[in-house]
Amino acid sequence: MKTLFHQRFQPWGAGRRPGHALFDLSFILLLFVAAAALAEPEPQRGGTLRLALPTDISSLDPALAFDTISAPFLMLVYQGLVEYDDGVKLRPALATDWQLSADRKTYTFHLRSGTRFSNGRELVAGDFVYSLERNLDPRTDGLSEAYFEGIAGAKDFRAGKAPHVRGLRAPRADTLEIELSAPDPTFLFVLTLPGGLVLPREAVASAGPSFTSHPVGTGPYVLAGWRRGVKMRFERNPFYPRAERQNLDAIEVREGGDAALHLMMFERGELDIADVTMSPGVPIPDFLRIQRTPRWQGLVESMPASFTWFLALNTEMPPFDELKVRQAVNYAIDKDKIVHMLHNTIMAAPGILPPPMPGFNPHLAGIPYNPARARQLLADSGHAGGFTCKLWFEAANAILVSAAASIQYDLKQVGIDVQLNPVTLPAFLNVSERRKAMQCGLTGWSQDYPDPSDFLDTLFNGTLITDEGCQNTAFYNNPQVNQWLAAAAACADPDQRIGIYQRVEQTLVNEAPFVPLFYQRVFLLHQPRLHGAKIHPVLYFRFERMWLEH
Amino acid sequence: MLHRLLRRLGWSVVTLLGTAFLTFMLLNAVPGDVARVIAGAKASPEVIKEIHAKYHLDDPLWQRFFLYLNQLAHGDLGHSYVTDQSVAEALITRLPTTAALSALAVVMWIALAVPLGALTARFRDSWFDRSTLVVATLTLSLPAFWLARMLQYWLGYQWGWFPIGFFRSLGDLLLPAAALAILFVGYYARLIHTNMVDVLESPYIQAARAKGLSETRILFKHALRNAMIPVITILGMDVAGLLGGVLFIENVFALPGIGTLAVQSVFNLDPPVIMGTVLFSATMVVGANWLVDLLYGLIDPRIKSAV
Repeated sequence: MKTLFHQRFQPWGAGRRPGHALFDLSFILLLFVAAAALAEPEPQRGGTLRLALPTDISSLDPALAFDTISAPFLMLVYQGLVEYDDGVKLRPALATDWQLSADRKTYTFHLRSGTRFSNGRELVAGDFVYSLERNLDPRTDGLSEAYFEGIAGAKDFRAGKAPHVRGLRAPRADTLEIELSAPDPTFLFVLTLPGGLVLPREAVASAGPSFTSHPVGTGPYVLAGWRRGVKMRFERNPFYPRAERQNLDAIEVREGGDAALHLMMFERGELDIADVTMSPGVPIPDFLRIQRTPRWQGLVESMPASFTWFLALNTEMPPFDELKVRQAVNYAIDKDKIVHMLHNTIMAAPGILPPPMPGFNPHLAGIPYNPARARQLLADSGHAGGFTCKLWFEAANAILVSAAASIQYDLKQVGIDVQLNPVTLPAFLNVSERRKAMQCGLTGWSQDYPDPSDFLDTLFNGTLITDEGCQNTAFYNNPQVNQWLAAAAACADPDQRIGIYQRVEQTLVNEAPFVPLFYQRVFLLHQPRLHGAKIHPVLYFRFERMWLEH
Repeated sequence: MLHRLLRRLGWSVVTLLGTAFLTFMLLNAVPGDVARVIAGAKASPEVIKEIHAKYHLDDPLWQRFFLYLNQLAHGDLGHSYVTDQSVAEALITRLPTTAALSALAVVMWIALAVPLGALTARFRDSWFDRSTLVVATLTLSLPAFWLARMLQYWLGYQWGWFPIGFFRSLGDLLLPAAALAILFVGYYARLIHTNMVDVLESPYIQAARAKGLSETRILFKHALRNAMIPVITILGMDVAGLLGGVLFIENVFALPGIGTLAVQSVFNLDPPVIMGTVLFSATMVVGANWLVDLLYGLIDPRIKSAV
């Protein structure tokens, strides 16, 4: 369980037994001294945070940017109604509070007074109506419309049958009402996605398509300059009220170069953070060298990401339509070996929900590595002589290439011949999401928001299976599981919901439509002068919380 | 003369059309749905359908190709599917970096190759000539990305003599240009050497010697000019095709040039940008052909009538 904690904040002395009183006193004194030495110093204002990205970011328009690299930069410029605390709980951001109606379909938000956009104009509830509706407007060409289709009247608006979304209302300048077509316990999480961020209509209208590089929001920083593919610079928003989120004078992002170059620049002191992509971005030999170098001790932040990699077994295609065969494959794969091969940059996954996700079950009974049991199950299912199957995976992903080779070896030991089929990501998605097209493949899922439904409903709900574009890549359809998922979606009690999802997860592990392989980890290597670089379990990087020691 | 020029222009257009056609077809032969690249792995089927409609992805291939040609005829190279930036704008903003890097590299390699070539011809079969031959063969065999990374690692990262990445001032181009120049200097030194050896044995050089002209004057004033004629042709073609080497060098040093744009567009599977960079490169080659012919005429008046 230690990996559940942020590496720099592991509790000391856990499990220590009481001893001699004097020893205890000296221990407490020592603890105080150590605590004083290790206490985070008072934040300082000033300085420019220097980062590098391997590629240009796609957009700073929240309706168009929907990727983990753009997200932390969107959060510099924009805000939404709610935001995450240091964990996965929500708290007010631009709303001071909110109420949910008795039928659990209408949210009423009261907005914080005096909030201004970076163009100086005061925020009103109508801006949220505009921004949310913009996600659903087909003319926006947005990427996140599906998340907001639960708002009443959204489908009519998208189909051109209504001029506005009926469920979005601003009865007063400081009051916003959002009516849903059905209760949705995840809707507040949806409001934290880029599509839930607020922007002013007049700025979008005047900038036109160039709004993507001339963003206006209420966030702590503004985009001061962006030469595409070269450099971005963010400076303080003069209208932002919270000085503690504007400690940095500026944030400068260089675009281009690979992880090896970024690491060299970091070691020369030219960058404050070595890598801000999902990790390990730096080459593994360098990653190991950094971990051994005394200079960088304590400066490598790491955390398990809400991102699980699986081997999907298509339950509609033989031989994986047989439960025993799927279980045999689960028993045959040595996940610890893959973790070892990749030098602990990933964590073995017993189940589907990753550690930072609410509902993660540390007591889940996973399927252990047991090739003898795998052989037995194959014999019981009439496949004692083994069989041949084709394993699809993305060729450009180094982690998957290693995993595929390891899986091929493990399955060979129990008589299954695996033909490796590395392809491009679009080609993989093309085949994995099409019915009866992919026998088995390596696939991953990262959370949109910290709710188990984001994994379990999306990946295993049999009622959502479609012939094309299907996210349930095992095409798993169990009426009992579907029923539980429906019950969880309608459940108002958070604890009860979690209980249902844990039952679903245990059933899925037993029924084995997927082999849960490993959880991704996020790493952040920073200079000693950089503080506040703690990885967030959902947003990962929050540059506005960081500060530089002078 | 006019007839020749028009015929040449016609062939240039055919070459560019052929390049566009081949690139377009190859891009469409890549498995996978471009809409997925634009929208990401989690996009809903509705979004995918909208993208298909917006970019005419469901239309027959020939129809889409003619749509692209029509767009080209109107001077529109399209917009990036990933960043929505105009391809023409992306090329124009990145051209100065690539041009500066290439120019600096050409100056470096010519400045080194000319004296090396001339002197090794003058002191043929000496230890200087032989060691230059060995070094030239070595530089010819070096892969661009490896050489760039080695120079970056040792001269920049380990010894701290040069900046190692990104473009802030012209000084940042020194090391990348040197990497590019090293790839060509050996080849050009040998080329000039071979031509010089021939020229130095020609009767007019013998006559110059008989007149008592100094060896330096003979070498650099009389022999070099003639020895450079074939070099000019190859230099023109190499400069035009330099994008091949620039591609690696720019990426290793994170320089915001056309090479980086080309590599990113391939990784992003961004067809309009791939088409744009390929057509840009092809236009450079075609243009360089013209320019070389013109220069040839200027250097050797006997060739003028052939242009």
